[in-house]
Amino acid sequence: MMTIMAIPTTQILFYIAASVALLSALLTVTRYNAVHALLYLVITMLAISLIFFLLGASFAAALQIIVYAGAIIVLFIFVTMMLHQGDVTIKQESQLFRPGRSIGAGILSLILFFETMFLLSPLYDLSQAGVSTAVSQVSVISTKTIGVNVIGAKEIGLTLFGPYLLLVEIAALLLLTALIGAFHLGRRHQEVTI
Amino acid sequence: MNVALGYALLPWIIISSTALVIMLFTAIKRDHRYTSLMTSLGLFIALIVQIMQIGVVEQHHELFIIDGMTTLLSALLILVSLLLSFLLHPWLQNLNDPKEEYYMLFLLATQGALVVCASSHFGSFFLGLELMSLSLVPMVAYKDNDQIALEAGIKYLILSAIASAFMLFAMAIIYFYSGTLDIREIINHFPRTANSSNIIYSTAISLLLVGVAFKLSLAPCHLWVADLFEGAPLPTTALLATLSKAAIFVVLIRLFSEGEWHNQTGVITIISIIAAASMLIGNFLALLQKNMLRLLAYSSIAHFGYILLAILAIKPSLPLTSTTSLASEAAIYYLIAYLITVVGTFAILTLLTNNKHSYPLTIDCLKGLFWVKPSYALALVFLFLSLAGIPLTVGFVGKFYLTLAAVNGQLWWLLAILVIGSIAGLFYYLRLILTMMEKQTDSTLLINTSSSLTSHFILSFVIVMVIGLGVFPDGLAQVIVELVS
Repeated sequence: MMTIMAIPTTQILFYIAASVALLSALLTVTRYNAVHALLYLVITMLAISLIFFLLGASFAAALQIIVYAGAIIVLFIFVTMMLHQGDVTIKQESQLFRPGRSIGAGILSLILFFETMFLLSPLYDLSQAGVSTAVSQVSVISTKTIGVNVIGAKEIGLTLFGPYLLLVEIAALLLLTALIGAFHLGRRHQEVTI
Repeated sequence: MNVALGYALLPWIIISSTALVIMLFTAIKRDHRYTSLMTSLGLFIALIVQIMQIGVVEQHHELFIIDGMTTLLSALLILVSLLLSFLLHPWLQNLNDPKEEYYMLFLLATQGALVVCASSHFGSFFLGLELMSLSLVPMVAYKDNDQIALEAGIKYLILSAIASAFMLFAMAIIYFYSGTLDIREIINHFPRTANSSNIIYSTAISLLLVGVAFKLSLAPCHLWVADLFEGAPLPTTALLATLSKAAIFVVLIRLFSEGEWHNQTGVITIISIIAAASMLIGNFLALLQKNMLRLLAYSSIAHFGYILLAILAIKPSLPLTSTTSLASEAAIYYLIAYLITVVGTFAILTLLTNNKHSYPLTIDCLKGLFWVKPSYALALVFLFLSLAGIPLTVGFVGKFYLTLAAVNGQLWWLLAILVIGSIAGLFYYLRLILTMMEKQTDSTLLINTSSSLTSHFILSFVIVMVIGLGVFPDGLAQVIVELVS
């Protein structure tokens, strides 16, 4: 009985995170300013990582934050900010970076923040008390997810270096290709400026 | 990884290690001649190993299927790469950019095509596809200070990303409902009654078709191909037109036959419309085209429209045959004919231009070629006749096979469109031949051409293949029959 009660809680959390992801993705596309768009993109990534977590793929969730929300988006923002130069753009930016402008992004990320806090808090465990008191710590984590299976780093590692070993190697070639291509195309800019 | 699998994948290992070795050598010292030699040598060794494996090696890995059909087509893809690799040195020699990267990307693109060709799992299919398109993007935009090439590169990058997104979505839907990504297993996880079409499966297939149609430049997704053919450097265009399309087409055959798409009526309708539209649009756009490369782009749209007929004929229990193999044989034969002909055409065009043209390569550039360079002109005449499907060339046998499969599959209205398309095709191929036969020459293009050992070798190889397989199609057909069934 209690487990049936437990499912709606996670589902509600899922729908909130999903709507945040959709809304921020929509806002990403419709923003006129690149930095604003990127801020919303960060929120999209964070919301998606929360969805991953709810689905039981905690490792993918962590990767999503580290790789997308962390590394790639920070690079994006750096580049976009560096492209803005000159007095006119600085004046523009002082207009753009008023706190009032970031209110939408702030609200969306606050929603995600509270959701995460709720997931981590004892309040959440209380909402599915019947399950959590009876079982061990590991399955407490598993009740926080929609799916039954929690896929951790170990399972992913075993799959990647077991049946999917060749895919990992092809992915390595893929990265190498990207590197060579980026090296060649990036070089051109240098030559033109000289 | 066991030894048998290691042997089956030996050509891949050779090709990727060649790319890696070239990269390491380039890091120490750049030497264009050795790099070029190494590329050709690596591909040559891989080709020999692959040919030795045809029909002998049989591996059913989780991710790959290596059987007769895969080994034959892989050997063909490596052969195409090898032929094109001979042309890279003279072309890159005239370029101001760093040259060695092109070889690495070239080898990695070949590797990607081989992975796609052998993939039996959506994971390997997608990664191979990305490997191929990601290495093609810098190859398209390789030339320095070339606005058109850069534009073509961006177009290809963005559009192929969109196509990949569609494909990924299709794979996600399929995985969601079947719980497997293995192409051979998917159909077992959908409810299976006689002539049942499953709406979810059909939707997923349609999304998958968007991606595939983009990569094959089939009718509704063909808009990029002309710009790309025009903008990209000729060897890259050749690679795009042959290697990338052929590899994806092999997977399409596999998807169709393993996934039993013929039961999905909606899918059949969509593919029929795509085929008809490709045949008509491709041929009619090429009809009055002045630019040589755009013309070839449109004709490649039409050719893949033709091959779709063979795909549509893949279904069990047909009048002439009890098995599905005739249609697959026809598709593979036509694919081989297309590969040989197109790679020959691009090889000769590359030899003729050698990067010295900065103007668009129009049909007028070929004016009077026959009187200046008869051997080149003769080879081109055979190739165009083969593309048009005139008897005694390999293209005719391919089209004959195709028509047989289509009649067997009772695709009557598509056959009618095939005939209309072929007549339109005949018009512009013959126009090209007539242009070459014209008396006066005003082209500076032709004077530049130097005859080397490589060019003689390629010319004779192409003519022998096109005419030889056209006059004696038996041998190849026998091999295909044995390997497919």
